[in-house]
Amino acid sequence: MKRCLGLFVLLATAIGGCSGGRPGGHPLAGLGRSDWAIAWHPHPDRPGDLPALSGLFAPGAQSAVAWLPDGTFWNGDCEFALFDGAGRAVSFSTRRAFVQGIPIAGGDAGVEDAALEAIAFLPWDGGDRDSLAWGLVSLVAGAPADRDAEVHFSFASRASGPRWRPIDPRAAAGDSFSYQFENGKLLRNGRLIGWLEGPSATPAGAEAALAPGDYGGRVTIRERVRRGESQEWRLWIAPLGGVPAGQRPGELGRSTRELLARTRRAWQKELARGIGFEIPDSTTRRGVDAAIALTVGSREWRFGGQRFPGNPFQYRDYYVRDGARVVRALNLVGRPDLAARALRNLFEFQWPGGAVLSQRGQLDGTGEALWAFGQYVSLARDRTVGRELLPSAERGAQWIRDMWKLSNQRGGIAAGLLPFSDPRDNENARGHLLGTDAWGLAGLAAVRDIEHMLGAAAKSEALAAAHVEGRARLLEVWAREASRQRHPLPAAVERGASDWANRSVAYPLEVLAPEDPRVRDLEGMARRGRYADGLPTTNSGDSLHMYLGFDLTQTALRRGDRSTVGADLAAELAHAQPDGSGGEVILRANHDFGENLPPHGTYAAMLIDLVRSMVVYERGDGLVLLAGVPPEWLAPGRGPIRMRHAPTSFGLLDLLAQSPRANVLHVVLTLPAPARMELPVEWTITEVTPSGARSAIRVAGRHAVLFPVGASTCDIQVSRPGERP
Amino acid sequence: MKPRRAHRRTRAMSRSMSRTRHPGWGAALVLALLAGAGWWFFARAPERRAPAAVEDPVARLRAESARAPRDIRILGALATALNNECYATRTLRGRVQPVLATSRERVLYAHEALRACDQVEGVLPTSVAAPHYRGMLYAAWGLPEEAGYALSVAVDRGDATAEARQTREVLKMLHMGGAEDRR
Repeated sequence: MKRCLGLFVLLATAIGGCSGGRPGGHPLAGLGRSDWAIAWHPHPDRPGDLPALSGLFAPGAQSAVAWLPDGTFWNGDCEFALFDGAGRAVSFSTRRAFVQGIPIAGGDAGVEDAALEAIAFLPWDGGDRDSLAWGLVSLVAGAPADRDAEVHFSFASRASGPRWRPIDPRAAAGDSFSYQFENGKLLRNGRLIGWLEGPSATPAGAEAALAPGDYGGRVTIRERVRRGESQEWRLWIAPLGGVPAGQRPGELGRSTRELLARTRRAWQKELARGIGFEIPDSTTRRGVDAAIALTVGSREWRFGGQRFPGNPFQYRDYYVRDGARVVRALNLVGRPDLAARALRNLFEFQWPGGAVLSQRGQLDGTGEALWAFGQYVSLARDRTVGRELLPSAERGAQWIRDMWKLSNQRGGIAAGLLPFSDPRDNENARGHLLGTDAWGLAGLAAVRDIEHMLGAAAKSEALAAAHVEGRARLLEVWAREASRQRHPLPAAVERGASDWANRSVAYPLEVLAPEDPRVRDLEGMARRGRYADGLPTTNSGDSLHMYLGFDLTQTALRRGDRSTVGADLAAELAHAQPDGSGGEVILRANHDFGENLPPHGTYAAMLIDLVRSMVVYERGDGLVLLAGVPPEWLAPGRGPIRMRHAPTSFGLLDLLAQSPRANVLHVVLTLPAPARMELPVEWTITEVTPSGARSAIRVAGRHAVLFPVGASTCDIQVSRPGERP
Repeated sequence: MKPRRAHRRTRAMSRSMSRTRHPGWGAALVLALLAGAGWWFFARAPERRAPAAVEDPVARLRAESARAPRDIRILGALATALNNECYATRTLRGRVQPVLATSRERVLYAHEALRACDQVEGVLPTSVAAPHYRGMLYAAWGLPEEAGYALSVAVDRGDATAEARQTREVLKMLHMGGAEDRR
């Protein structure tokens, strides 16, 4: 019987041990200064500071946590706030972002006479699976070396948060909420929304019938920390809507240090799966890192498959117009595995007639899905997925042709165009949006090329003819409307629509050339009257749009306008979050993102595309190298520009360019196609010294060098203004 | 190294136990299982006692139509319920939110509604309601040509509703552009 009892005690201990673990050790031990990419001062009351948000997300997870500028944490449903002993909101005087864009954030605050160090993230083990991830906030109070410290603070939660904060549609509905704190568990209306670990937590008691904006579940902590020592408290934030009261965070028993190390390793491994990309500019590097981490990491397992929501927070939904850009970006960063899934997601929105439509009235989706298909097949060079999706793509192409035919039969001002649409988005109009037709043309071109590649010559020729006819009709309408509306390339047949997809006509849609006078006039008109602080304006001009300008920048790049590209990139990065991520719309006056929380997936995808294009882009049968790189990136003493195994539509590219000393640019290339390297116009090439005896490297004019297919190494001697030879 | 040693010791103990066949261990195991079952039952009781959710009309109609796949009354009701949920909103803490959280669900529901209309026509090829309903759905989703075609079919089959006529007129007007745009 003694043995029976012994086993029972053992079992009970094991069960008890699973129900709650105590954090141990300093969670930030082992983290060095080099682990943080940047630190900043995010307090909203401090003039000149950008209201900054740390987005905490993990691949596979169906919800995310935002660490907001005011220091609170938000999961789309509940806000978790921290107050000092006097009941004031704790403000974090510094905020830190982890290196490589890994969504781990840190911050510092003072509570009474103790220093409070916070670190927040979604623990991730690297598994790519469906998960309702819990967020973890670790707070470590440290006492000075010469005296004990009294720590006094409290936690509270509220449904919703301030007025207008976006709420995830999956959040719990309710007019009033009751809170209860018991043994570390924070319950709201009987569901577990948080779990607090750490000593001396005293609940305020059960609170019932609180309005959504009222704080409840207050827990007060008063603890003496001995001199030179520290004490940790951990707040686990449940997935939005909470979980049943009997559940618990799966990682409760693990120390923060262990979870942090594991999460970091998992992210590093994930990010190492893509291309190698080095940029010798820390601001751009930070932006690209954040963009890659978001593009790769903002994915969830849902509805039995992998999905790529447009944003971890209020855009936790699927838009073909965003998803198409994400497909291209995933390919560019060397993740065709994810790109293929993202592409299949787009075709899940195909309607019986062939249209691809995810949101009511956004008829551009069909052309966008077909264009994304073309991007995938071209960059991933994947004929298998090409064959798999070609029938769906052909149905989409047929829908476009059918629509043109029907409207042509009807006649009138929109004869030969796609139907009117009401996208309820940035176009701010209902009408015949001409950018939708331009997307349709890009879609037809993509299917035409894939059919040609897969040997369906007759079909490809038929589509080529339809493309020629459709393009001619669109240009005819544009010519008519340009004179009627006094706009070089109006957004719609109907007056009053905001510029949107018409700005994409040269890049990426290639309906007109970047040098075309209409494109130049459109860009000039936009930059003169609809830009401010280097970014396009939106709404009534009081807001800046963070990704609407990328296509015009790409157009300028393809026109050889390096200085505009540099200025545009600088403006984008200057308005980005300190951690490098970008949003959609911000107020011009104070850069506040309001309820439109960053980071935004389309910004990330388009930034990746732009920076890649600055280093390499496809033109005709070859590649153009370094055409958008600012001269300062190539200054002596700067780190290299390096790309390893970068996908192009001709195959993989390896590139290294660096100036080891004044007036010399050292270049190492492995090219899948002939390339033209375009150096800044201020430079003059004086000599090219190839490493091999026989070389096909040729100088083309004062600023360009031509490289053949295959491996090349050379030193390019240049004279640069201000540098001695 | 430590875990490996512990693992070997456990296996050795297990072999020793199976050799001696001590009856007390069996009783202990039964007791432990009973304790575990008791904990499971009592700890989770509040969840089981939670009030049942309001019945989902879509789920009920799907079940009904699976039982009676040729009942056009049920199919029509299913199409209506599915389509209504695509646009249904609720007030969530003072803000208007869609009931279906993502466009994937909304589009899948709309497609299922269209299939229900097809099934109705499979049973009753002269159905007026099916093309009428299909037309209204396409119009609401912003696919005007599909909407116009479906409503034409409905009218040809005798649809005399003002709704069908008005929707076709609105579509035609939007196709052709307003007076200002024709100038």
